[in-house]
Amino acid sequence: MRADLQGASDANLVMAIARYHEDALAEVYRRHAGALFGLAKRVLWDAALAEEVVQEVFLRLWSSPERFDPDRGSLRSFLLAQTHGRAVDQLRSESSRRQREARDASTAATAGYDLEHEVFDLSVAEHVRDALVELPEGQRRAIELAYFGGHSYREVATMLGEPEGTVKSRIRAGLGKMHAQLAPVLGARGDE
Amino acid sequence: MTHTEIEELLGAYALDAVEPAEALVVEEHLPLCPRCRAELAAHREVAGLLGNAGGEAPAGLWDRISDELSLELPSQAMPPVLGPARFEVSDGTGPGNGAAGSRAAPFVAPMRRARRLPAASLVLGGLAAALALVVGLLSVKVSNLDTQVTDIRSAVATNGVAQQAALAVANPQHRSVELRGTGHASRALLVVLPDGQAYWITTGPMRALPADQTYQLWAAVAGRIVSIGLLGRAPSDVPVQVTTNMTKFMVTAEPLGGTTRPTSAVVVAGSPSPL
Repeated sequence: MRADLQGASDANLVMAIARYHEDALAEVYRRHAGALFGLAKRVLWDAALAEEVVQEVFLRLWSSPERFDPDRGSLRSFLLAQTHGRAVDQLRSESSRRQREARDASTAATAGYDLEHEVFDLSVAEHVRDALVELPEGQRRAIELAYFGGHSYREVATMLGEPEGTVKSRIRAGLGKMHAQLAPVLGARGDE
Repeated sequence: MTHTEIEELLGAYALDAVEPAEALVVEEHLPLCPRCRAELAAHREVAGLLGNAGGEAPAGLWDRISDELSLELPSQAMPPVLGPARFEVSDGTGPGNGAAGSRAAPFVAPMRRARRLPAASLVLGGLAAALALVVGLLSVKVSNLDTQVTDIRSAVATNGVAQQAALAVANPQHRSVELRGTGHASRALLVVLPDGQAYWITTGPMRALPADQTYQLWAAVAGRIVSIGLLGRAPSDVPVQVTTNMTKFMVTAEPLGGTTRPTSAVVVAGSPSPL
């Protein structure tokens, strides 16, 4: 069973999960859990909280596999988006407010460094880094603080001393530019 | 919010960097607007690349997940189609239903959520069930928003309310909306009857708030967030009124007496299943 699953596409694994095959969930875990945990830890700066988030994402995939639509992107992207959302929810919950305050300063200082050293797939990492570095400074900072810092655009505006509308526009424009820049990478990506 | 204002939020929304109320507005708008959906998909692709960092999952995590799965497995086979009967009502005094066992009301045990199988498996049985659901919903009264109850009194968790809530769950025409929080412990159900009468039922632990605060229930209606009512500082079963055009429900902790718009982080949220 496991040998079959190792060759299965992500979409087929999700179909098997819908039929209550725990082995299929285990295979999805094997393929993606490391990346999900990496992202959750990156945002939360707390391994225990990050584990909780990853666990929740997998239990959610188990209970509602139909939420993944293979036509709308890879399973990895879907799970990463879920993980980021849950991690940010955690951050904004009262219990972790204290940790968050402690970590704010260092996030701002290390975001660029971490991106350079932590992105998993090296060839993609290079493209992502280039695309980010080529953004105007204001756009890059706003995206890093929002995505890796888990801050709302309003908080980013306060941190950077910029109007909220400006930050909102910069995030949108920056992501748009990165998308254009990364089009070859995005187009070449398969199911994984 | 205008279309331009919503568009401006899409980048921040893709990074989970908008306020809860703004997120609801975007989520309301997306099904209606292919252009915004396409833009958001592009933003999400970039976010996916940014977040695709490596690393190894910690040892033991899979075992914990696997243990939870066995707890979730249904005790009996569930039909593979959407149906209203998602809960069983037993007369036992099951664990975890809030108040310390003094209640006479039946224990409501959430069963595993019925799921839609992937398209290939959706056969006539599924279609028939979907049709039946649509027919059932046609009879749901849509009350005017102006008459929306915005300040239903805090829950008085009397046996009467608990019993009515249990009856609502037993009613085959009910629809239920599961609301979940960040730690997956916090959860609740909104059990909705065809006439719009609904019951909030706390199914997982919800932290009791300080005496000067209350939980407040909100819904998204056509791009606006409306207050449905106050749930009290330690809600168990609370009657509320809802309408069929409400597409998302969420709960925040607010100052006693409630507010006109959410001012704090969402505690639990959930959407009615798509038809």
